Amino acid sequence: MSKADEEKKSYSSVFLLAVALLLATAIWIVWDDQISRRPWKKYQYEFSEMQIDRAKAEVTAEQKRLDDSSDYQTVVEELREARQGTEGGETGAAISELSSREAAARIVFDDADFDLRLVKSQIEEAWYEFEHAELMHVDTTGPKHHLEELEAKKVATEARVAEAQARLDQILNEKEEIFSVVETLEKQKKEMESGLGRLEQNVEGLVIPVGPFEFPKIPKIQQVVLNEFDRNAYNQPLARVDRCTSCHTGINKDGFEDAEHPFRTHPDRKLYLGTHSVEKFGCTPCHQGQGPAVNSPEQAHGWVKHWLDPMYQGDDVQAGCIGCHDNVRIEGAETIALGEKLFEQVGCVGCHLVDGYGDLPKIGPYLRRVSAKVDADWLVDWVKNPHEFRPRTKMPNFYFDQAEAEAIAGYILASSAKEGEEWLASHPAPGGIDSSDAALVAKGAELADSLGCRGCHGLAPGESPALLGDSKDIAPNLGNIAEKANQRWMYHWLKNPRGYSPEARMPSLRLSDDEAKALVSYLGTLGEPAGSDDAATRDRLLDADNVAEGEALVRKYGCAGCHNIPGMEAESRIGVELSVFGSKPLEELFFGKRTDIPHTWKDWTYNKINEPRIYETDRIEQVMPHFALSEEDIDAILVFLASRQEAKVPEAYKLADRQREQALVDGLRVIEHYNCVGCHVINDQGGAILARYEENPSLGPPILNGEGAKVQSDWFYSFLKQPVPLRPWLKIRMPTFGVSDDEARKIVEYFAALEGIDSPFVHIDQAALSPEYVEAGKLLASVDYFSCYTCHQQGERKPEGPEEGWAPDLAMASERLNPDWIVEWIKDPQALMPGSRMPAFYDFSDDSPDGPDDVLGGNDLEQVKALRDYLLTLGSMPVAAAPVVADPERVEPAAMDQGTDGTASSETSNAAAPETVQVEG
Amino acid sequence: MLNFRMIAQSAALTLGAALVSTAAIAYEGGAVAGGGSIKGTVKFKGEAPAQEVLDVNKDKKVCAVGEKKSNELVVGADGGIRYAVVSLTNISKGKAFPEGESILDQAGCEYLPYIVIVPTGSELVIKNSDGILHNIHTYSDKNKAVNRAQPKFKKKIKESFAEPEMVKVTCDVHGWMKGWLAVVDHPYYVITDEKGAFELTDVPAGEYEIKVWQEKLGESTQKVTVAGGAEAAVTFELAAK
Amino acid sequence: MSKWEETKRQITESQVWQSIFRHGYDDTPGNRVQMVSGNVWLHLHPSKVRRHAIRMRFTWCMGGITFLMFLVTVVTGIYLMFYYRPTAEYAYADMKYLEFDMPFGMFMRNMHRWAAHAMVIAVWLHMFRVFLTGSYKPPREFNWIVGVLLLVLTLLLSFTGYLLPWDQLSIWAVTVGSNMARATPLLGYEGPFADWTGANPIYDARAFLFGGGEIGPHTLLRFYILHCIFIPLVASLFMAVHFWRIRRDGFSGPPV
Repeated sequence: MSKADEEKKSYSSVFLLAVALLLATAIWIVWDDQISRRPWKKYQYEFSEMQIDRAKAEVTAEQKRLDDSSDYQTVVEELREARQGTEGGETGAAISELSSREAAARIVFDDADFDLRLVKSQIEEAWYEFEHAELMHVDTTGPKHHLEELEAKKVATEARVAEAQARLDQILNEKEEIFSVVETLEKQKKEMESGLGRLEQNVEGLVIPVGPFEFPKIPKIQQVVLNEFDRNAYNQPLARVDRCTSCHTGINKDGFEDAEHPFRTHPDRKLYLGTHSVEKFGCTPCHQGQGPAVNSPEQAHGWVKHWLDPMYQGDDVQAGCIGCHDNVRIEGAETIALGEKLFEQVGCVGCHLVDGYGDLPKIGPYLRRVSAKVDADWLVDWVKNPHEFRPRTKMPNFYFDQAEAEAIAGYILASSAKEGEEWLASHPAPGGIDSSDAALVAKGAELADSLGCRGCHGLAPGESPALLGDSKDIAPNLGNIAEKANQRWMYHWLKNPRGYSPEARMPSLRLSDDEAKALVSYLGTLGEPAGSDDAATRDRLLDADNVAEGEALVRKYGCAGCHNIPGMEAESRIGVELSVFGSKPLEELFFGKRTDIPHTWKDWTYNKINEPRIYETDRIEQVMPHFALSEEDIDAILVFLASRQEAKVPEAYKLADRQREQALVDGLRVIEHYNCVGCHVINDQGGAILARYEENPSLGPPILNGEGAKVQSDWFYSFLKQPVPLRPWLKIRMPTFGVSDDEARKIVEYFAALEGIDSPFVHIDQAALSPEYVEAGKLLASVDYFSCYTCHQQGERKPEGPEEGWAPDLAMASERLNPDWIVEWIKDPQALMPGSRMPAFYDFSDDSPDGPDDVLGGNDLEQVKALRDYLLTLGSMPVAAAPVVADPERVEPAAMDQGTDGTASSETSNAAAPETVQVEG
Repeated sequence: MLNFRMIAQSAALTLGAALVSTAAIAYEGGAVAGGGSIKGTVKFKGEAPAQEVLDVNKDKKVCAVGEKKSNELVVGADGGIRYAVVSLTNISKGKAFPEGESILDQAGCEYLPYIVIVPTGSELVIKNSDGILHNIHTYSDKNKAVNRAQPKFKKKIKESFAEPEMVKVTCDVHGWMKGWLAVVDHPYYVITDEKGAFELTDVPAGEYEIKVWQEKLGESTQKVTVAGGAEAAVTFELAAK
Repeated sequence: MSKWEETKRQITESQVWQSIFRHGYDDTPGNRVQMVSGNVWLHLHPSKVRRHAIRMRFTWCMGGITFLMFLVTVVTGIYLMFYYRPTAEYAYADMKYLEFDMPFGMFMRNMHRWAAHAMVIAVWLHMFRVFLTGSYKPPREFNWIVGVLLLVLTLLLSFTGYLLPWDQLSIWAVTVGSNMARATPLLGYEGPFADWTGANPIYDARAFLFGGGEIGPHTLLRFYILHCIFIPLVASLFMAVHFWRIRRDGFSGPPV
């Protein structure tokens, strides 16, 4: 186009194109904004459809049920007939006559009623006139007279009203009589249809009817606002908004367990959402994610770049539990409970500081005297690769080479030489230990079997009675112990572990010298200590240069984090602090040279724990050792580490009873430290050793569920400090753990907290016991009735037969047992301790009396209380006795002459103490 | 890792499972016309072991009358095993249960009879003829385990069981006492006598599997065909494990 | 004259009407043209334009596009202002709510941002075009200066607006940008001669920008007001001058 025609150039095509583009864009904008980026609308419609379909199906099913039900059909038929009956013929005529009479009667009544009301208001008016006249000091007779007239009229009218009412009522009654059958049938029918009615209402509630059409409910954003849940960078409280339920419409409704997400019901809905209502807690405090986002699932779940709290998947969600619950050993939090336990007990805290886990005792053995214990060659091999000697040891593998291992072993031997020598000097080798004496070894093996060693230790390679997670033993496997430790040490250790290591978890089993010698002889046969020249190796290792090098290595690798080593008491943890490791941003994680590992927090951490030196480069050395944990164990630890967040949950959202939580956490730590659950079932956990007593569970360690409600706290405390034999038939022995006062207190409070008992102290006022009841109880316990002493010991008075057939000493009851528990126990022992040898004397599941009729009027419950009262009067605790050992050479007490009141006659009883059954007060 | 629940379940009531899971074919009992019988013996293979003498160490006045021997494995002079339970495993229709109660008596501190047959759902009458404290402690997987005291004033107690099973009974007061309850869902159960002989009568004609149970020697099965009016012969030979 | 005409005359000559609508004009073609072309709202471009200057290859239309982008940002910005609170507590959350809650919120925000980017690009291109076509030569030198001022104001608008989402990117970008100010001679506490004026970290050019020693809620408020009120006002003033100059001087071209 020439320059001359420039102004004639038409831009219409450009404008048209622009208009078209803008129009298209505008349409797209509206579509995208209202539909594409509001997926919750679609989901809510779908869910509505699902609900409506289900509700309608239920209606149809119920309708069909009614149609098929013969009862219902009969009622319908009868009703129809009855109705028909009231329509035609005589009855019909009678009804129409009654109806017209009723109408007339109503008119009469209404008239009378109206007149009455009129009169009443007239009376009001008259009163006013009267009082006004009075006030004006005017003659009141006129008004008064008028008033009286009206009153009379009122009375008359009231009579008229009553009469009209009566007549009307009579007519109505007659009518009702005729219809009574119909009415009862109608009522029946309505009752039968009530279910259908409800279901139909359900459907109605779900739809919006518009003329002949039904529309599902209009989608709406559903949100939960948690006030002051978050804090911004200036520590100001912010509200948190969770809109998850806008798409997850079925999450809090039963019945959608098999639906697809986002409609699926929350797994274990009653457990999780019952205790943490959605209205109070929302979703993101546990699941994380981007609560306010609703534009797409990825955004809502926080799976977008730069959102710091992406939603957890699978079991990882349990990382949220520990933010509010101090104690996570609860139903529904098993993964994080395991993770926490592993973190504490496998020894992570030895190198890594974590807030709240800084004060735990050192997880590794006491090394201040170890030169007196171990074989030097063994020590070198152990340091080099512990897993070769003991595959399931907690000690990790540092991948030392031979020279490093020798250096470290040398240092350890050198540093423990002084205290080791002192210890050896005061602990001479005992005579009488002989691993070649087959009888002695057999006796030792039998003791190891029966005393309870297997509650913690495996005694053969591969035996693991007490596992930590999947792959670690809580206590060392002794299958090859002879290669490691010398028998002199073993003997003194078994007799008194704390004499060697003041921090030992191993308890004393109160062994006699003979028992200890037999056990040591047996232990000496476990393993093959071949070709070890301890003395020569020691000479070599204790070379000064070697020792110095070893010291440097021990400092570098932070051995003092787990072990008590002389000279290294003040060493600090060598690992990174992990208090807020869960919040660590991806940018701060160093992947080294590994390009094959996906860039997520989870992958980094998993691989780090699985292969600790995986991110090493030529310039960057890593010293973390290899723990050889299974995949499940590492996943559990990951959940725990993910829970180490910077953001803390506000106090208002945490569990209210912090004291109880703390008691549970503290107590459980002590219990796990000493592995009580290796023998005992506590809170439905543990008790692995009971598998050996499946034939007769009462021969195994007692189950401690409900112990907090059972025993008195002060007795429990003193028992833990100094155990005494309680159950004479048991061969397995409760060891003396030597718990500190603090530890004993924590254990007692733990059991009390489990039962929800705030103040676990019981005071028994023996003076307040009713003498009648005590006497009745004594009678019931006598040989004429329940004959308790056939099995139960009472102080010095022992039952017949060998100890295997005895039951606990009833004289302990008043100091040991809670009176309320005694009642529950007698009522149904099997409920409290299934498999117990104590039989049930009563059966409270039905009303039939089980006790004798002539005691306390045959009232079972009163009899139980009488027994309890009687027991509370019995004597005091036996003194801490010598260990009870089944000794076949012991003479049995002579058979007691069972007199009518159950007391022993003096000449046959071997009781030196006088009768301790006295009624006081 | 073993936990408490696993142990408790083996000793606790499994009501729901008992009602729902066992797809027991309901047994129809009635008159049997033209039935046959199965007769036979249960023999022990090998040298007959001696019966263990029990240690009676409590309530000797009542209990230590005469020597008590264990009935765990009683083998007669001709090798017949006593106290073995012989039954048909796969019968769904046959004779009705005999009238009368099942009774277990504690007399002289032992269980008489040693094995008592108890139909499922029916009441077992447990008598205490000793006038001293006994208790009934059963060990059971399928039924609820019970541990009930029977003091001297309680001459009789009753207990019933829902599932067919061989249930061991012991007394905690007197540790040597042992007995068995054969809880059965049809009447074709019989206990061998001192010669090890047994007979099952009124068996409808047909093919069956016949089983013997002995507490120490375990179970053994055989096939048997019963013809109407005829007697089928079966011999079991059990050996020590 | 008909009744209707009479009434009309009476109304239009009344004082009320005249005070609002003034007088009409004779309906001649000339007057019609005059009315439109003289009205800056109806005819922003000058009424006389050189033929060659309306070609796309000459003008690129970048100035107009810049102004269009400015209008778009103003309109979308006003929408955004209804829902955005310039406090540290709410800024980020409000931005998120705009994205998720408000109908067309995300569009408004995105359009605002795109228009802002486009405005900066367009204004640079406009500047290049003006240079390449020599449209800065006399008598248009002063307009060029005004244009440069407008350029600086555009960039400042972008700079202040960047802080408003209050996320990491915002804060660090503004930190880096503003930290230059501390090196100003005399006026910056790290610049030369700082001790002559007593400039210190909480009272110097940088602090003036921040409203304090560090970026904080005060900075956010300050930048918000700059971004929404002060700079747009100043820019509008200068735009008015700029357009007036163009209308007065017409489009440029080769010497006649």
